[in-house]
Amino acid sequence: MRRFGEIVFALCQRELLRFLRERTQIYSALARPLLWLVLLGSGMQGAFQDETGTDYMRFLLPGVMTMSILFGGLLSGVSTVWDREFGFMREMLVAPISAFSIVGGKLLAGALVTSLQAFITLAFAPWVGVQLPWIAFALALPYIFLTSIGVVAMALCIAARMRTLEGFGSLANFVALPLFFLSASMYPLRHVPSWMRPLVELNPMTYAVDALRQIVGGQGHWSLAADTAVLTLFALSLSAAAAFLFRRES
Amino acid sequence: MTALAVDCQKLSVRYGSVQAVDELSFSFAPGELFGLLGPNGAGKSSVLSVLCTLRKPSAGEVRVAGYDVQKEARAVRKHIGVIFQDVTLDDRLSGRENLELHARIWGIDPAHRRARLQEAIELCDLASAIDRQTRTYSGGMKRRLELARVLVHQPRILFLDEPTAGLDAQTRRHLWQHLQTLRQEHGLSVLLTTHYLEEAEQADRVAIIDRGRLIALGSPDEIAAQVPPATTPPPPRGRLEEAYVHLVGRDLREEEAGTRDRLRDALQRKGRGGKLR
Repeated sequence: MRRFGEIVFALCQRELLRFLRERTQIYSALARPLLWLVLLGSGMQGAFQDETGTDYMRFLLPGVMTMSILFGGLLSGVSTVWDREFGFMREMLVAPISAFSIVGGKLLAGALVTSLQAFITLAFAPWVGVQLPWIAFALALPYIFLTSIGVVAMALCIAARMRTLEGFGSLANFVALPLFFLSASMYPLRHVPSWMRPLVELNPMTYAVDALRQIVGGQGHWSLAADTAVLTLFALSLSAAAAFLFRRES
Repeated sequence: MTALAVDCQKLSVRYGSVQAVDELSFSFAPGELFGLLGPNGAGKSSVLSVLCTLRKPSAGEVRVAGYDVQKEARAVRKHIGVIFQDVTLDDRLSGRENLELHARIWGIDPAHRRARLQEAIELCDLASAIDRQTRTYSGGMKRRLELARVLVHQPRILFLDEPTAGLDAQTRRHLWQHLQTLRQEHGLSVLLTTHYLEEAEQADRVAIIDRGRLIALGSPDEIAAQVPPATTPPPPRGRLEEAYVHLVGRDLREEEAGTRDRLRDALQRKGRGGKLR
C-alpha cells in the first residue's frame, strides 16, 4: 500500500511538471473561464436581472467553474493518449507496478490541475462584483475536487479506448458540450422544459453546479447532501471504470 | 542451478484469425547474447511483447528469468529491462528526471538511488546534458539515456527491439561497445532484434523466424554453414547475411509480398480450374 502511494505520487509529480512546463496550457486554462465570466456575464447581466431579480454574475459563476472543470478535466486525458502515441506509456506498462497506480497517478494529477483552474475562477469572483465570505472558498474546495476526479476519470475512460489525439479530441468534445448545456449552468433549472428535464437530472454536472451555486449564495434545487451523494457516486464509479479499462488494456 | 534467461516453448500468438507466432520454441542461457532475426511481419515484435509481459501468449509456455510470463508477470518485470524501437522517454523531463522517475517507479531504495543515478549518468556519458529536457537530445543521446535508464534497476535480462535503427554508424558502434562492456561487467543476458545483420554476427546464437515459425537456430557460423557456398565469387557482405537471404528469400515483405502472393494464388486457382474443365 505504501509502495502504491509512492508510485502514484511519483507519476502525479511527473504530470504536474509536464503541465507547468507547458505555458500556453496554463494561460489558456486561466483565460477561458475569465472570458466566459467577463464577456458573457456582463452581456447577460442586465437582461437576466430584469427577468428574475437575481444577480447573473452570482448565478453564472458556479456554471463557469463547472465548465472549467469539465473542459479542463477532459483535456487532461490528452496526456494519456500522448503517452501512448509517444511511447512513455510502454515504460510504465513494463514496470513492476499495477495498472491501478498508473490510473491513480493520472487521476490525482489531472484532478489537482483541474481543481486549481476552477478554484482560480472562483478567486476572481470579487473582481466581477461577486462578494463571497471566506467560508465559501473553503466549502467549495471539496466539491471542486470531487467533480474534477469524476471528469478526469471520464477522460481516462475515453483515452483508454482512443489511439489518436484527433480521435480523443473529437470524442471529448462530443461528450463535453451536451454535459455542459444540460447542466443548468447558464439557465435556471425550474424553467427547463419537461422533455429536457430527465436529461438534466441524469447529468452529474447538474449536481456540481447546484452544490457550488448554494455555496456562493445562490438558490439550490436539491440539498447539499443530495448533491454530495450524487457527486461521490459519480467520482467513484468513473474511477472504477477507468481502472477497469486500463487493467484490461495492460 | 540457474534458470534459463528465456525459455520459450511452443509459443503461439494469434490476433483474431492471423497467426503471428506459430509454435515457436527457443531458449538461451544467462549471459548469452541472443539475436532474433526475421523480415518485417515475421512475428519478432509479437514474440518480444510476450517476453516482456505486454501481451499474453495464445498458447505455449514462456518463462523469463525462471518466472512464468502469465502467472508471474510482476516478477518477470522486476528482472528485465526493455528498450523499445520507439523512444519511451518523457520528452518534457530532463535526462536526470527521467532517470529519477524510473528509479522511483521501480522502487529503488532511496538510500541507493543517488549512487545508481550517478552510475547511470556516467555510463551514458551525458553528464553535461543531463539537466536538459530530453526533447533537445539527438537520437543517439536518447538511446544512450534509455540504455542507462534501463540499467538503474539492475535487470538480469535486456530486451532490445532494433536499438540501433535510425542511428548513424558511429553511434551504433558506440552503443555496441557499451553493450559488450555491460555484458562483461554485469553478466547481462541480452535478446535483441535487428535488421543489421553485421550486428547479429556478434550474437552468441541467432534464431531466424519467418511467418511466425522458426526456420534456423544456432551460432552465426552454424547458420552460415547450413547454406551451400555460393558458386559465384563471395559477396562483400557477411556470411550470416548471405545465409539469411538464402533462408528467408529475396521477396520484399508486407504489402508487396501480399499482392504477389494473392496474384500467385489467383493464377494457380485459374490454372487448376482450367484443368478441371
